[in-house]
Amino acid sequence: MIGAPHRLARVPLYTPAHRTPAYLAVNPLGTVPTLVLPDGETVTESAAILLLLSERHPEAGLVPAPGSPERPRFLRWLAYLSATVYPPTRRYYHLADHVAGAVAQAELRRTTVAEQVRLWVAMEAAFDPAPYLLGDRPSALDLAMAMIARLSAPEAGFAVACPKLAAARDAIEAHPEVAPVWRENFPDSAPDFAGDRADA
Amino acid sequence: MALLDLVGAPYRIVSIDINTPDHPTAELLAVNPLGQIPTIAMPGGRIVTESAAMMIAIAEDYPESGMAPATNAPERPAFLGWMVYLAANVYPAVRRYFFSGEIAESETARDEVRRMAMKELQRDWRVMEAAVDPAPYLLGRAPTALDLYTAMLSRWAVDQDWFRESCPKLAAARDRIEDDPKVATVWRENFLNFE
Ligand SMILES: N[C@@H](CCC(=O)N[C@@H](CS)C(=O)NCC(=O)O)C(=O)O
Ligand SMILES: N[C@@H](CCC(=O)N[C@@H](CS)C(=O)NCC(=O)O)C(=O)O
Repeated sequence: MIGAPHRLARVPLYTPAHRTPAYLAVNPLGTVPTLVLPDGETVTESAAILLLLSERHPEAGLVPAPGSPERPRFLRWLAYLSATVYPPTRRYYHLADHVAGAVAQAELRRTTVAEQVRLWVAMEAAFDPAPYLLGDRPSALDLAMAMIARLSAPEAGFAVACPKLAAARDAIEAHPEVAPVWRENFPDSAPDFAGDRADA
Repeated sequence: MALLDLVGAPYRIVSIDINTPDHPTAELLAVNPLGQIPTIAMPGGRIVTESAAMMIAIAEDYPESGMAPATNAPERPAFLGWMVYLAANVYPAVRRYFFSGEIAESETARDEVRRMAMKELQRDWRVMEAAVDPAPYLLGRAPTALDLYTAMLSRWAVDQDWFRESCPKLAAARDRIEDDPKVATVWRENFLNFE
C-alpha cells in the first residue's frame, strides 16, 4: 500500500525450518513478522512495523501524523490490538506454553476464548466504520485489526459478535493491494471475502 | 506521570485502587471498558488507554522534549520496536503473573500459569538485554520515553536482584533515568522496591 520495494523471506511456522539459528538471530523470539531495513537494522512487532512503514510514507495516508488530533485515538487502538488482543489470540495456539495436562488446557482454552470475545466486543462498541475504522480511507489500524481478527479463535465467533468490525475487515480485505496478500496468508477464510475472487 | 513531569505538561491525577471490592468503578469503566489503569484524558477530552500508546502520544505532543525520536530520526525504528515489544510481550507476561486467576481456575493451574509467565518474562528481558547498547540511555545520549517504560516495567514482578545480575546493561540505563529527580519522586511513590 505504500509502494515500497521489498523482498519477502518466508518462515515456515511450526516446521523444523522455523526456529533456525539464522532466524533466531534476526528475531530472538522466533515470531513472524520481522522487517529488515535497507541499512540492515531489524524491526520486530507487527504494530511497530506498521507504524514505522506508514510514517515513512506519509503520502500513503495510512497513519494520522504525530501531533495531529486523531493521532492519540489511532495509537490507542493500535496498541490495544497488539498488547491486549494479540496475546490471548496467540495463547489459544500455544496452550501448552502455559499449563500442562488436558483438563487445565481445556480450561485455559475456554477462558482464552472468553477473553478474546470480551476484548473484541469492547472494541466493537468504540467504532462506527465508514467503511474503514477511521472513516473513508484505509489506515494501518484496519490492517492490524483484520490480521488479528483472522487469527482469532473460530469459536470466538468474531463476525457474529462484532458485525461493525467484521464489515470494516471485509472492506480492507477487498482493497486491491490487500486482497492478494490475504488470499495467500489466510486461505481458509477466503470464502468470507467480500472482494472479487475471480482469480483466486 | 513521570513522562508528563519530564515534558512539562500540566495534569491532574485521579488515583484508582484496583485492589478494592468496587474496582472497576462505573467512572473508570466509562472511560476504559476494560477497567484498566493507566487511562488518560488528553487535551480536548480524548481518552487514551494502553500505556505504550499514551506514552508515545504524550511524547509526540512535546517534540522539543526529545522523549520520542522524530519520525525521520535514526533512532525511530528502535524506539517503536522496543515500545511495542514491552507493551506486547513484557507487560502481558507481568499481567499473567499477577492476574493468573483470570485465565486459570484451579490452584495448580494458577501456579503453573504464574511460573510460566515468570519464565517468559525473564526470557523477554534477556532478549532485550542482549540487543541494547545503552550510551548511557537506551537510544543514546538523551533519555526517551523508552527509558521510562523500561524502568517502570522492570520494577514489576521480576526479582530485582535477578534483574540487576541478568540484565546489567538495562539496569545501568535504568539507574540513569531514575537519577532524574522528577522520575525518582514518582518512583518513590509507586514502587516499594525503589531505593
Ligand atoms: N507481538 C508479535 C506477535 C507475533 C506472533 O505471535 N506471530 C505468530 C504468527 S501470527 C508466530 O510467529 N507464531 C509462531 C511461533 O510463535 O512459534 C507481533 O505483533 O508481531
Ligand atoms: N495493556 C494495558 C495493560 C494495563 C494493565 O494491565 N493494567 C493493570 C494494572 S498494572 C490493571 O489495570 N489491572 C486491573 C484490572 O485489570 O482490573 C496497558 O499497557 O496499559
